[in-house]
Amino acid sequence: MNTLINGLCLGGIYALIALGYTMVYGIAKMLNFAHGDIIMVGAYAVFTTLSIMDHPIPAVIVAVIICTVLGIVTERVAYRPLRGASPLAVLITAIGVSYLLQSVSQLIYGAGTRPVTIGNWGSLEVMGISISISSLLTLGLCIVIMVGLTLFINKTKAGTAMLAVSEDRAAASLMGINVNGIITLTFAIGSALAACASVFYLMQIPAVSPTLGAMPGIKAFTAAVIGGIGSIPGAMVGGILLGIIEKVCSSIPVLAPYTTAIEFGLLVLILMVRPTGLMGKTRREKV
Amino acid sequence: MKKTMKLVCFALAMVLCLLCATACGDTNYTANNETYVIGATGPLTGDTSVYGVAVQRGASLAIDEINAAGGLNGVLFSFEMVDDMAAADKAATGYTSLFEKGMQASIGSVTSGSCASFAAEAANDGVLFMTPSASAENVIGVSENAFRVCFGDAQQGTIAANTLVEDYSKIGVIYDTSDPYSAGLYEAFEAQMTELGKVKDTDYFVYTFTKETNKDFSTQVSELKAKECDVLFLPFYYTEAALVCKKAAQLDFNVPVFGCDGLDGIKDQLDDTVTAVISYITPFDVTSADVKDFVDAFQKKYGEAPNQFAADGYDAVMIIYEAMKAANVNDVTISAADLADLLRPVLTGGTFKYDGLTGDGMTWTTAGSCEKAPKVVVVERD
Repeated sequence: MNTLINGLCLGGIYALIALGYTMVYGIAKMLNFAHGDIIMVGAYAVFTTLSIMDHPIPAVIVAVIICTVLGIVTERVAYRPLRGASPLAVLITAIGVSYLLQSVSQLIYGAGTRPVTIGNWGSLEVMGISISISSLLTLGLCIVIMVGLTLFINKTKAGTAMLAVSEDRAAASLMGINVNGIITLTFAIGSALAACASVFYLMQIPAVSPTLGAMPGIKAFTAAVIGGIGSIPGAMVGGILLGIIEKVCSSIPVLAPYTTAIEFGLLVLILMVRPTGLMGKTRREKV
Repeated sequence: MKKTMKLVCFALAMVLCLLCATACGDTNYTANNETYVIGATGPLTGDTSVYGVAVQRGASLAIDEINAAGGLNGVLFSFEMVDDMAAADKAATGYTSLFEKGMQASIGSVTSGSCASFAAEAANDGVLFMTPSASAENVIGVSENAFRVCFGDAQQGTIAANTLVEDYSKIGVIYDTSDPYSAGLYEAFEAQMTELGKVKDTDYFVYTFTKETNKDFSTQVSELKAKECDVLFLPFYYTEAALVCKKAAQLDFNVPVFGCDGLDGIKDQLDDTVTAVISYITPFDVTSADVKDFVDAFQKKYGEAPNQFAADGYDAVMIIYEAMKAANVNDVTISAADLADLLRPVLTGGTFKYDGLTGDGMTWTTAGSCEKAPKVVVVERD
């Protein structure tokens, strides 16, 4: 039971990050490998704000603003000039951005791990098991954010425009949708989600380092692919599934050393059975 | 024509062999030494440079003190340290360059992986070394001239088991299966627990992690809490241990925490949410009155307080010096192998004892491990 809650909590964080991957892929048709490092920047933003004023709310706001701006800037500076270039060039640029962000934060904050504390609210006894308040908070807020995002995409004009661009960019552009604007919006939303993820991540794991984003980034990417990259519900399902698997494995002593192998093994398995992921659309290739 | 070519080739091969033999056998690198040269390799740059730099500073301080007191029979000492970035291959090449510079005795390498390859090279030339801090078992096994100052991993695991069973009945253990230091400590701990008649999953409970999963400890901590453990044994490094402590605090699981020398430095990683009593096995307590002179001298020279590695480095050099004094070494150009043959019987003879910063009455076994009484330090918090 405890393991399940821990898994849901971690899964929620993965899902938030996976949403960033999957939205950018769905709309801009590129894999933004710098996404994990946006989380790291968010975490350092929280770290710095907390060291100035010791309250979580301003830290969260600052992190969201910085990440959103960073997402828009990287899109403008690094990815927009490459629109129409080969996917490989864009991919390599994304990896370059990732290293750039890591090295810059290493220059500013040093290579070491720094402790961070975002409020400590102890734990709650429910039906004989103790759950930490921050886990409950993470879980609750992840659900709220995901519901909000789904509503935004399905009910608002901008959301519909995003769906249209992901369906067919050329047609959307002919219908008068500002494609560049929509892509920028996607990056902004994805990065804001990454900022939220970084706050939840720090609630669970209270330490920052320049390589903090690498592992959750890869895990979330795996989650996005498992769920079907480009599919928003897929990213949520994939993230939560991966989180639960990770926690269940690490609670069984025999499996614990192989946790990461099992997670990525699952990815391989799913790609073999369903190459488009659990909720991905199977689209016939036009020849 | 063909025959003459063959002959010429053969002759050339012979000449090459001869050249090689003279190069390998006859060159005496120590012939021009004007001081006794002690060499070492360690990470002076990179992620683990904090350890290498500390050893370098501690060792240099020891050399300064020896020379200020006039050296040994009027001959001064010098210390050479090569940066190996904690990489085994760089330690091996570093060893060769030190040997060719006339190194006569060594304090080996700082980290275990590097020191294993340093030891293999040193064994070929018969060079004696006294590593300050390489704690893995294989470091001193390769040669009769390999010694260390710190406890080996197995020694600490055994000490931990003996200490913990005295006060606690349900020990919660977490360890890193992907790290030789942590796994080595745990194996020794488990062996000693079996020796003491304790049963896994009754008297102690074990959960693991790997370097890919070394951030989120919620599962391990909540499982150990559910088992009602009355102490946590964390045989790994302070960064991860601090995360475990904070997770335990989040879950209101404030039992005492016990660790090994890897926990040195944990204080800076904690915040006021952590209320558990944290203690660890360490040979060096910076607040102790016994080491005040060293701490003050170190502080004066480098502007910061020494850590355990600095103390180990200082002791390593001093032990070599004291052993040379006991053996009455009197030849500044003595070769490394000859010096080793003089020092080894002193170190393992049974009468040689060294009282240092990292322990009183240190003696060495013929296997090279150091015997000294363990100290347990409680992390003081304000």
